[in-house]
Amino acid sequence: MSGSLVLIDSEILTGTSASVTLTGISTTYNIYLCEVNAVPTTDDKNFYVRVTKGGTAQTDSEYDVASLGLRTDASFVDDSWTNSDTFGQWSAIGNGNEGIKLQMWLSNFQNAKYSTITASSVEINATANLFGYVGNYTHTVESASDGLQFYLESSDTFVVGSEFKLYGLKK
Amino acid sequence: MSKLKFIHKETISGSTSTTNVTDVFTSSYDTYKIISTGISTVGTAYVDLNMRLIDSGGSVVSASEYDYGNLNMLSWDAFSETRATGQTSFLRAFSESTDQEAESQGGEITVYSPYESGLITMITYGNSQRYGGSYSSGLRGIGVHQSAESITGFQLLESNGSRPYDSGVILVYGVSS
Repeated sequence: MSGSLVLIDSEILTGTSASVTLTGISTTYNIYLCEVNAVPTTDDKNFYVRVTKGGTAQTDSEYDVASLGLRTDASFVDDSWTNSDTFGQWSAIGNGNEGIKLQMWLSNFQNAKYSTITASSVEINATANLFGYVGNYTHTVESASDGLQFYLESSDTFVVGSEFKLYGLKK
Repeated sequence: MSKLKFIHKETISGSTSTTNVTDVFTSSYDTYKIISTGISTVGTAYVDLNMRLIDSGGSVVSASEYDYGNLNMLSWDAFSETRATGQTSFLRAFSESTDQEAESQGGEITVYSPYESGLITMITYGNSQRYGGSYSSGLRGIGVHQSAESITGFQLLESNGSRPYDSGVILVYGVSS
């Protein structure tokens, strides 16, 4: 989707990287959109997201999650928790030609309200099954956030070509 | 790949229980995206944020013509389903619940073929929020307005009637190919 989307920050990896941080969220726009197309170097790795403030990933225990996991190999699963130290949700990502595609709508990052995300994802997991989440994510701190950090379980790396993009929505 | 074309920005700045956004659906697009953020209540009692449609005559459709099915995703409790037919609004299309700042909401609604008078209007929606001091939740839903007529706008309304909101932004985009 382009047209009203203004690219704020992006990373298209030319070398492997253990984490990626996108920043630049400000009061310029009300709504931001983040899109990820990433693959881990090692099979069966969980994928995590944290918010950043002043460019620094927040490691506090202020992350709440409520999401529905949709899958082809078993019953759908309700996943929710409070007071975690990450939006750790996306599990057992497959490597090679598998990986994860993730779209996140970011609300209230630019102001002193709680930062909230409405997200949808699809992945091929380590057992080669289709898996996806529709989820809702809140960082329960009353201050502005300026970006997101992405990383993998056990300090695994993202492969070359993994893409991370942050857009502002014209208003 | 589709593109979002900006149509309208509605800024909420005063205490109110309803917000009408008119003349945004036209023959120019078949599909529209409504993005909302930062809608918080005046008081400390949280409230659901619903949606109604506005017809081509400028009237809010308040008849019992709305069907919906929602999945309520709660971070602190079991998920639940809410579904009904013949209702007077799309329950929680804007927010499962919102509360006083710094608690708030964010969400998106996709509206399909509202302007075409021979078609019923369908919507899909999703939202995330924080309220009640400790509740983080999300919602995914579908809805249909069971009357074929031309729809040109929509109304945001809080479900209680006496728990107004006083902040937030609503953005409307057309989806073009």
